[in-house]
Amino acid sequence: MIRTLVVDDEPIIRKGILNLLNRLDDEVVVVGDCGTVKEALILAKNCKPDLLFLDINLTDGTGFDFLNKVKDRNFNIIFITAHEEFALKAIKQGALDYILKPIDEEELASVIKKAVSVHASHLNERLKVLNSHLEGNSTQIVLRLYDSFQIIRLDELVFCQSDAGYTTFHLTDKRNFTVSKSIKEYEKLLPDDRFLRTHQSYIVNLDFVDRYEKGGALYLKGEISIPVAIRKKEALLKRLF
Amino acid sequence: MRFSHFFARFFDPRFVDKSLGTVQELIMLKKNADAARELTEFSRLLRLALEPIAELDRPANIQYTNINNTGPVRLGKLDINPNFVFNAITVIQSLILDQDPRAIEYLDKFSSLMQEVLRSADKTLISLEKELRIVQNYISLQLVRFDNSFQYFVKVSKGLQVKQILVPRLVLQAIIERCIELGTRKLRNGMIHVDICLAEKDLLCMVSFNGKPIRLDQPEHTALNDFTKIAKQRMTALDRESWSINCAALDHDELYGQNITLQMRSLHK
Repeated sequence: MIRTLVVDDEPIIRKGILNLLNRLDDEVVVVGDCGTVKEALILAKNCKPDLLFLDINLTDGTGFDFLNKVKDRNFNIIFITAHEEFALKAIKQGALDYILKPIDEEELASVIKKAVSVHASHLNERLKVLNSHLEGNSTQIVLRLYDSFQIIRLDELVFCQSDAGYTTFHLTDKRNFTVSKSIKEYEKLLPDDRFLRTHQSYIVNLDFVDRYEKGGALYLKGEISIPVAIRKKEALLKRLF
Repeated sequence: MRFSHFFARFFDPRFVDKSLGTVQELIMLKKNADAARELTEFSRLLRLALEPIAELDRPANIQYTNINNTGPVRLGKLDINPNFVFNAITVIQSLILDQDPRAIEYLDKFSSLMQEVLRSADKTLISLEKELRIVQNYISLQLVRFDNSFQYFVKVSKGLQVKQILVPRLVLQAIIERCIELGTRKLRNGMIHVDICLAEKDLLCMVSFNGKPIRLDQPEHTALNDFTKIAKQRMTALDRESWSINCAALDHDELYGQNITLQMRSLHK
């Protein structure tokens, strides 16, 4: 049994989500629903949910406000969002799950399945990352790997390389991690004052640049050569010199 | 192949009409689950179409083409807040699943709003009549969404030739959107009052409302969805000197509290 709490400030949409959850699976039991941060805090404490669907915009604040105030988090979170660039970026950075409105039945089933398979204790670490990003001083991102969540400190990330929908993260200590997401997603996540997409398949950390050769080759410390797309050359030179 | 096909058709208002028409038929046939699914599919295509094409993860063997060859289809093409659009679709989905009779009415309004916006996409000026129709539809959709938590009045002064007067497209709509999203939606007894009249050579649109104060100079309001910036972009049909937008808090007026005034030289067909 998955005890589920639904937090969304629009009554009609909330009803719709309940409707979808009810027709979905016997496993899911909705233990409460509400539309404000205040109510959500009370319900989260008293209903002991395992899973929480959380909207970004709430009547008296945001879903993030709720997360900052709630004590003893023993539940997983799935954000529900319509199309908010900023919020989505923050959520992705913390590798938390989200579902887009309007909700697709199949997608709903699959995020629930995924959420319950991950233990809630992993969540605190990821929420920390989310918060640091919301406060605008993000120093790390979380990668969702097959069997773990890997924290990557941005000052250890040298470059990212993509290959057919996969992205590999290369770190200073020579370790690398591959995730099954496109490099485009990470271009949005990584702070653009430090990272630059020099090529369709490469994002580099500008702190690690060693030299730029006139012929158009970029070298990172440790003689790593990185391709630079012609149309990115100008942007790169502007940022470097 | 399939996708290019959709892109080409998507921004055709007739496609919106047809697609949402199918949803409507399914509701009529009481096939609500199918209707909801059809709507989710529509929304998925819309989301794809709204993303700049270059940003999409596209398999190499699919070619994306745009019907007019005017470059990638962009968000700006829709000119209406995607947050609103997807929330509205979610409301329709919820009403359908709940077998709420309002579903058809809401769907109708949403469909005509989308079509009206798409049909005028290449214009910078539209008749005041059309703009008012868009605003009316927009407000009534938001009213369902927020459970009739606010009231609104639109007053157009007598003798104003709404068919002849031209206004920059979707500027009044953007003002109303700000009022609802930042102000009245969080209240139980919200009020929006729109007053349109002529003052000598100028057209005046005064929007009064209550709710959280909107200050155009506050970064938190401007950063998220900069409505003055949007307004400016949409006002390009007019010289910079011939229009202005002002925002004022009316301390003495408890009912409305705030006021946004759009003043512009009146244009005629």
